[in-house]
Amino acid sequence: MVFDEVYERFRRPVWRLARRLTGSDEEAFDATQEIFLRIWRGLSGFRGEAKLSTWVFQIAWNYLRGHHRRHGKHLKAVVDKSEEIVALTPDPAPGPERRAVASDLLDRVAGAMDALPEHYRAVVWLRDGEDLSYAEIAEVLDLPIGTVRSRLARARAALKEAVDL
Amino acid sequence: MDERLTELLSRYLDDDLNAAERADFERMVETDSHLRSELDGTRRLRRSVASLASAMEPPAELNRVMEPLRQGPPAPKRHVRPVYRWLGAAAAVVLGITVTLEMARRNPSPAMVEPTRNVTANSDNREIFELAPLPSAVPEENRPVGATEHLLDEQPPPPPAPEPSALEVVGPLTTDEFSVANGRASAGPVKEHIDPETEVDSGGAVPPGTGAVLRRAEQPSSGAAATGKGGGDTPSDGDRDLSKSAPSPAGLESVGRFEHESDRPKSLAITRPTVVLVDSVVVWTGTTTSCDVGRWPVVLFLRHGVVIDLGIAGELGDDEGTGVCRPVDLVDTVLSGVADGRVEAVIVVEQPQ
Repeated sequence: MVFDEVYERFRRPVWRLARRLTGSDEEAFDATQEIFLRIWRGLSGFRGEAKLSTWVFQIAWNYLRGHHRRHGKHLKAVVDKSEEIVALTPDPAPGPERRAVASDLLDRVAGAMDALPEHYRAVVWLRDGEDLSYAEIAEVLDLPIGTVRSRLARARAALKEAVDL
Repeated sequence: MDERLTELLSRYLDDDLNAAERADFERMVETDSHLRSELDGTRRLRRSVASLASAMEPPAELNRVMEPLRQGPPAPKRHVRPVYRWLGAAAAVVLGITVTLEMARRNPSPAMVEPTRNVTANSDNREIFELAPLPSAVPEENRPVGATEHLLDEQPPPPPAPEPSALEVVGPLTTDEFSVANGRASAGPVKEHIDPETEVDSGGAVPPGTGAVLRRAEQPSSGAAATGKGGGDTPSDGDRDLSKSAPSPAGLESVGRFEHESDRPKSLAITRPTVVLVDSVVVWTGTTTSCDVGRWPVVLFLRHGVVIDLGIAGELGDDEGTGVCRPVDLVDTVLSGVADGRVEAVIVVEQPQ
């Protein structure tokens, strides 16, 4: 597998995931570079036992998870002990990306997405944004498939309520 | 709406229900207007997220900064066929045993007795153990593998000058063999450590379960090196202090102390480049992290050759991490040639020269 092909195929999905999970263009830009550097380093060891997309997203997620803690960001969602999303408080200040989005609905969805805890955000994004299957998401996030199902349902319910759909 | 129904709805939209569940759910939708409304709303949400994704485009600048990587493939690894790797390892073992026996022959010690697990700690807090008598008192069945009658009973040719690394002995650790007591680690059996300089494939240098290191005592004339012959009865340490060499009052001893919990060295906030190695293989380098210089037993979790998680002292690390480096900094490293799954290893954090 040639790195250039991998880059061409995944630069958009990786950047989108980075953008969704970091919450800013600048940090997503840096993160995307770092992720592709890791892909470049690991490509010769990729043995094809997983789908390439799963492998790439796995590297991306492993780099991006915990990003908010490393960069001193705070969750904007309230999650109780059972991991139920109790409340979402979307970021009131829309970033450049959201200002560029014409649709008010998309604007609200983007804001609510940014307010989700990252492991919920990742599940929703990988399923609805990148069209990964439950099994692929479970592999990328290293979660049981049942956890993927329940997190996805909770996250969608919280998003739907936050954007008033 | 209760959580079960919420999940059913979500799975229905993803076509994740079996036929019976799907039929049941569709019947509920027909009779429940609220559920129908929830279903429509969630459909719109899914479409919105998909639209959001399609509207996002990475900046053109990304292509420019990635250009150097796109120009060339990763540096190819030199590949050594497994059979040659094993032959090399076998040769190293024989060489090590030969050197050890010769040193023992030339420097017989009246204190040599059977290897024992009874480890004593001197005032320097070092583990000291004694060696079995060699060569004549060793029963045939207990003789080292590869040690022939020629080696034991005849005058052997002068051995080559031993390289320090050739005498380094690595103990493969398994859960049963590795133990920690009073802040000290013991492990066995042992085998010869392959000099990293001779390793051309990084995968071969990371045997699963490799752990504690014994080093030949730094005794110029009267020391004897241990091969750890006798299997799992050889105590060893779990730590090698890379920043200083430990003088050896005894003929052979493990070097350093196992650093454990409160016994850890003072954490060093390292802002210059730091190198992290797993059994001599560089797996990570960084410039802005805080690492404890030292040697750490860890559990790696590999999938498809990539470290997806890392546990320290047997526990899964969280993002903050303690002790070594932040585990998050160490995941995604690629360990070629290491079986996927749970791998016990030792991470060495050292400051580069």
